[in-house]
Amino acid sequence: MFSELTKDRLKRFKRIRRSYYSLWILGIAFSLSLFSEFIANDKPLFLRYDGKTFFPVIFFYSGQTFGGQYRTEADYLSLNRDRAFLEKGFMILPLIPHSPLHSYLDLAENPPHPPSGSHWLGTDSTARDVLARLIYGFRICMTFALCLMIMGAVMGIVIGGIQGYIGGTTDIIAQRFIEIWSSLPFLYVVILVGSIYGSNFMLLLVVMGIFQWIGLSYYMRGEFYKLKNMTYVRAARAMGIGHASIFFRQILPNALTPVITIMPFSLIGGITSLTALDFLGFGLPPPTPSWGELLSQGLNNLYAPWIAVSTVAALFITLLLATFIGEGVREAFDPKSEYRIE
Amino acid sequence: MNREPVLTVEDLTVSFESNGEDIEITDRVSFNICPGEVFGLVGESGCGKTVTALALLRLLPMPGGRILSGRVLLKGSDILPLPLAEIRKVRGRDITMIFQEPSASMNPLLTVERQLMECFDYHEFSGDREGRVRDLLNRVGFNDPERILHSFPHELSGGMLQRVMIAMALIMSPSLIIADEPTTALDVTVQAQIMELLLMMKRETDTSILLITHNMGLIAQYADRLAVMYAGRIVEEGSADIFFENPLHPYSRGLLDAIPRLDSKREEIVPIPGQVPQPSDYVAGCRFQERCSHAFSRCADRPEPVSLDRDQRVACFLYQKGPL
Amino acid sequence: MTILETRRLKSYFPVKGGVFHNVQDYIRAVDDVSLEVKGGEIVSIVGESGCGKTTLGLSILGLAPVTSGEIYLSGNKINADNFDSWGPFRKDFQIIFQDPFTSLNPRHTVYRILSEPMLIHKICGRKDIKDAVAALMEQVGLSPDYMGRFPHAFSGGQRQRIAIARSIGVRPRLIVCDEVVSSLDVSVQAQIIRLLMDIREEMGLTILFIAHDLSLVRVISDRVYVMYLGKIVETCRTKDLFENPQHPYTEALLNSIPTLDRGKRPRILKGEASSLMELRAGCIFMNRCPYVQARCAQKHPDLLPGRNGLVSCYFPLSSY
Repeated sequence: MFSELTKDRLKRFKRIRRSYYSLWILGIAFSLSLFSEFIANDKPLFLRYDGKTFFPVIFFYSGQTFGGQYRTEADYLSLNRDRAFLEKGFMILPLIPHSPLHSYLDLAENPPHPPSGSHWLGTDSTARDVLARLIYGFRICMTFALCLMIMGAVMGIVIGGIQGYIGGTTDIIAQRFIEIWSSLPFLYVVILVGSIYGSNFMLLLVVMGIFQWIGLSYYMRGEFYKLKNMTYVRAARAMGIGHASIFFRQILPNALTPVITIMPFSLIGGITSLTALDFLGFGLPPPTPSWGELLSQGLNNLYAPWIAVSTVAALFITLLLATFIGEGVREAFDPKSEYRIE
Repeated sequence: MNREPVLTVEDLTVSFESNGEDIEITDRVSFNICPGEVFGLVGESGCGKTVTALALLRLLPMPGGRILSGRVLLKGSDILPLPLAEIRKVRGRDITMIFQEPSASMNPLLTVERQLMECFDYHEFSGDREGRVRDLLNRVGFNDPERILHSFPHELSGGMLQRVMIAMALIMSPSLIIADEPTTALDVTVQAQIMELLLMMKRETDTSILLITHNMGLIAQYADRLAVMYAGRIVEEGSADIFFENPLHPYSRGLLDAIPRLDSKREEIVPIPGQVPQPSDYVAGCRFQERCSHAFSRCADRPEPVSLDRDQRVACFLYQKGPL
Repeated sequence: MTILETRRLKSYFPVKGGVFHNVQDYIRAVDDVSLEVKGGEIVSIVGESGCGKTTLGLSILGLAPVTSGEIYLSGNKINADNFDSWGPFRKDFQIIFQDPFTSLNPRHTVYRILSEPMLIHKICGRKDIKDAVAALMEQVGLSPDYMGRFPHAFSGGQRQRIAIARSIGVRPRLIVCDEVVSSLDVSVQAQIIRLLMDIREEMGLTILFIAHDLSLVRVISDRVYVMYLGKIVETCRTKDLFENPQHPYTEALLNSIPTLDRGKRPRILKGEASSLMELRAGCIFMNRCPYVQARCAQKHPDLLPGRNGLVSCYFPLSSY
């Protein structure tokens, strides 16, 4: 399935322990975060009441189902303290029994509250659990960055590849256009568009995506220029194989090297950009849990250091792991050979 | 061969590291080169001839390349154990080298003059340096040395560059020039010119030449003595006259039969069946036996070189004297 | 029956220079070449590097620009301005390239490399393709067990076998072999040459063999074209070329080759071939020809019938 060359590269990557473990850790962390609802939530995973089984984490049940008065969703946390309920049933809450959106305004002091037994990393300035917000925030920023990375890669490959493959006037015109496009201050564009249409995940993704591909397209343009002169491409032309097939089946598999090496750093860029936008308030709308927003809160509430410290720590670790992966990939693809001649 | 050999290689064994293990590339290679002769080291790609040449000057790529054992005697004294500072004196002065691709051997950013004069930075030379350089350029066939001196490598053709390399090799009057495939990258008409030039220089300066090539024709035309290498070992060695009258080793014969010949009426070429083994697959016994039509039970052992009457040695059990 | 013909073929590459990238000169890689190959023949084009023989082979198949002249494949005239006009002939006219290390896509398995052409040209269907690939590999001397491997795993000689298999799989009429053994070891060269000759017998192929090694050309060809600086200087049957060369360049070429006869030293031809760019008045070989005379400076001699075949020289050599 994989060529010898790919197997060699995989082996080399595995040998760089730092990177290999980082990949595992980040991969597992992200996979787990996809199930954030099952890890940090104020709705129980499993509830047994009056002989019947319920899964509140997935389904909606009104308060009346459990003997409450109202038809709005049951307040499971207070139910858990209600003796009437506890006589007839029990519930299993997720590991972190807090939702990122719920403000615990009924706690003793004023928010933000320092870390305690019930809130391991404390709460933020509107009394929402910090740890829960960190976990959901992780999912959002990783998902955003991954989508951005993929979008940028696909567009970069296609546009850069077409430039390189066709060359000539097409390339010159496209290159001028790209140069103009890349000089647009993308931050302003994001802010402007966000202000007009209201920011949300998809809008931010699209607006950032249409700038993201530029960097990769330079690499792909170069690779395609180089590879289209390879003898096996000539052999394919001589065999009567058409342009589309040559582009995708002959050249592209050989041109992917820069893509793979750029991807981890592209991910880091995506995480950082989103966090920066959220920090400035131009990113995801409140009350979406996001690291940037937490950072901003942290800065405004320096007397409550747990907010800032935990967010910075989370950001630092994530970016560090991604950087290790990136370094490992780069090293695996292009090992520095230490040739000495005496 | 009345005089002492200029170079004696004894049991030279070189290995390369691959995936953590040492793989032997050459196995106890031994030969002598006499003063003023052209010695041909002939073999196909992968047989270890270039590695042997690099090992002589300790130019093996590191990490990875190692000389496991053997001696290299330059005019009687072993140069392998010399400290780095000493071996650097040997390089460029006593033993010089010409490589296959002349355009890759020269720095594209420096003029020819800079590169030729560079030799004097590393070796003692009392005398007129500029004069020596110009004299050599004349002798290698340039009518206008000044123009050549001020040119950059890309402005000269392959043949011209190789002449410059030959001039460079001769500056310090070396005892031995190692020429590693010096004409492979050149046209056949230019090849003839360059080989004639090398011969002429050899006659004028009494320098020996180690000519490394895969081209049997070159060996036939220009070598005084030769050694045939196969899979890291010397399989036949001796006088070229005697060799071409009567090649002994089955590989030598197979090689000569596989080459199309212009001179004879014979128009057939007979391929040697099978393939050259990879170094990682080298066996302890005769490495040619799989492809040899004369292989027999003895071939499972390593054939040692046997001397025949005249200047001819062959490593093959077919020629073992005495009981087998 | 003529399978391939060219008439006054020219392939010029413009050389741009100056601030505005104006065309300043041309590299005349193929300069007025007319040749003909009949069915079942092996015809060689021989010359040193830079003489234009590779460009000639490529432009016949539309892979190098054709500036002027005519190309006839199986008797049909090709519209050289349009790459697609070669389309119907792609199956019948194949090419094998010199470098076995770059002519196979490193990311494709041998199976894919060999099956794709056969599927495209509908030689066989999806059901039988695997058997067809196995048979093809055996025909060129490779074990079908290796069809799942990548080119990286094979030696130079084996890769050329794969390249040969790729081109014969579609059952072509003519194969252009562009220096196909030049990068291989001597003993491997002999194997590949033998393979080509065997396949020619089995399949009734025609081969246009481009090479610089005259001794190889002698083994394999029926007829030879000698090329120098973009032009054909001599053509005749192989036997005649080697016994009675007519053009001084052919003679010089034959004399330069180091033979295994230690008694006969190669003779030196002075000078070097000038570049393909210079416009020369007079014969292109003038500056190196040992027999040059005043007449040679006027105009390059036309390719005219000589003692054997055609020769482009005012004073062709004759046998003594």
